[in-house]
Amino acid sequence: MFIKDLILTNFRNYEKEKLQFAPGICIVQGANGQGKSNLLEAIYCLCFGRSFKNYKDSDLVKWERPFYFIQGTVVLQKHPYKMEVGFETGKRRKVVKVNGKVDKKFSLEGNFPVVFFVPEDLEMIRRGPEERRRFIDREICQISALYRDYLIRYNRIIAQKNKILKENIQKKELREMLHVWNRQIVHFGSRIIKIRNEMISIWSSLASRNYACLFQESQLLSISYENCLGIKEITTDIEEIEKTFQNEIKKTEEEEMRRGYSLLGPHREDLLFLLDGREARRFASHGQQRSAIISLKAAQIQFFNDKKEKPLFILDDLFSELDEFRMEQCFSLFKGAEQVFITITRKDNYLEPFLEKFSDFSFFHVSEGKVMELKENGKSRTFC
Amino acid sequence: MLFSPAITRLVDVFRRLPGIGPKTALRLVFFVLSMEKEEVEEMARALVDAKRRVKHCARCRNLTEQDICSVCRDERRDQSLLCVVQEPRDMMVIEKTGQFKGLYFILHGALSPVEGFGPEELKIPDLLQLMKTGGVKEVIIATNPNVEGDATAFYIAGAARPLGIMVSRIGFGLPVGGDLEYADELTMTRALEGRREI
Repeated sequence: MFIKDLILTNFRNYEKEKLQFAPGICIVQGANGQGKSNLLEAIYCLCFGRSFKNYKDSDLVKWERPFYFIQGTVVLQKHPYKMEVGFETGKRRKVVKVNGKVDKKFSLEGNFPVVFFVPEDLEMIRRGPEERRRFIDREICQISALYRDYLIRYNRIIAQKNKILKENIQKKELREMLHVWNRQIVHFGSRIIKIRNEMISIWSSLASRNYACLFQESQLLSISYENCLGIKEITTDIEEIEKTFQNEIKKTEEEEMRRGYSLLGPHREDLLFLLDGREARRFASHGQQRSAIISLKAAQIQFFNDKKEKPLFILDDLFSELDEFRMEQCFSLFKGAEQVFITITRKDNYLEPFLEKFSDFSFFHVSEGKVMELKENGKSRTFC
Repeated sequence: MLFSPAITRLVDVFRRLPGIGPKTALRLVFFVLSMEKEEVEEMARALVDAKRRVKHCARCRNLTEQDICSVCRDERRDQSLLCVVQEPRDMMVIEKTGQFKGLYFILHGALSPVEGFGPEELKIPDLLQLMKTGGVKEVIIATNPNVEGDATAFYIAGAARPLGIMVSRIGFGLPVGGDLEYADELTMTRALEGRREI
């Protein structure tokens, strides 16, 4: 998958930019605050109809402008998709169009193989569980529309149940109402648990291999799914998961009524990074944590490659803190991609030895919301 | 100000209707102003008249001008069969099929604590009373297949079962005449889960 062209209007610090890209490695260079990350964010937005960092659409609009608009062509397995994403601040109206047709469900999620990295990902191990849950959900939604559907319904049910738990009603009636919502929590929750378990175990085994082979780290990395049911081995049998869930939720009922919010379910789960069985959050060094996260990102890439798909990588500031050995290992992963966007701040040619192995690469220079492609003969050309 | 206060006021009134934005509202206002005076008066009377006369049927909560609606009064209908729907328009859809010969109960909503809809607001106690005393033997629940509709169905089913009444939920899945390839994942999954032996 690759991005062929992109037009940004009033997006972040871009007023109007028309850009063309080719498959291969696209290096986006610029000083801090010039718009490198914004460009990558726009590419993500083009593919998924929203930002990756939980930003509101109104945050994406250029200061004091009434709207933002992103257009572009995404080529997936040689088939071009004309994508349009727009948002009007005054009307709070968002429109996503695919090949000129309005797409209300943003159903492209689940179709585009994209792996992206943002510097905040490095913090994932040390941050709170909701950060890691957001990661799990974001990544799985991207490959499974069904999961996304389950999740939307599940969150809605949790909101309804929490409201009931806060209401001042008779205990008998409260219990009756709880059963109604719990039944659906068990239904959708079990399906979410099943999918999470399947995906995390795939990521874990790939990441563990990457950690050892790619980064030559000596410890064993494992990523463990801390499911809400406290089961070690989750079965693939959905009815069995439902049964366990049903039993557990019954047990927590009294406690939930006392505390006034729902205590059990996928909305309270976590992802644990372990090195030789010890929690990376507490025992691993900064460098080890970084290797663990990049191993996980690499796992996502390999996951797509295993499915015979060549994904798009969006990598924001991946290299800033990597040593040469690790950089080289990262470049070896890029062979599995059809197109890679990487941002760098430095201007010198330190990437050249790595790029020698690739035939297709291009350079872009970003300065104050303007993007220039730097041609090999030193001449520069502005698109706009 | 671009328009007179009377026009602005009428635009605001039209905008309260569902699906009407400021532009459509303005278009409607201009149209109304271009109509004959008698016609406009007839329209206003029709609005007030409908609101004054139409109320909920005392039995099924359908919209009617009588105490009991014409469906409930129809003696050819099967009194022992009851279909529970969310909105009057859902009932109309089922009626159009001509396949359902029982009676209805209209909830005018679905259980949604977030929006303040509980069993009382949906008059579920009235529904239970009807089940107890109206000779109902079977209840078909036809609420929407979303989170709130399902919750409502489970709630009613739970309350009806101790009364010895058979409760069923309408089937969900693929639209008839459609191709499988156009079904989204959730619809297909639900269709698979609700498969039937043939």
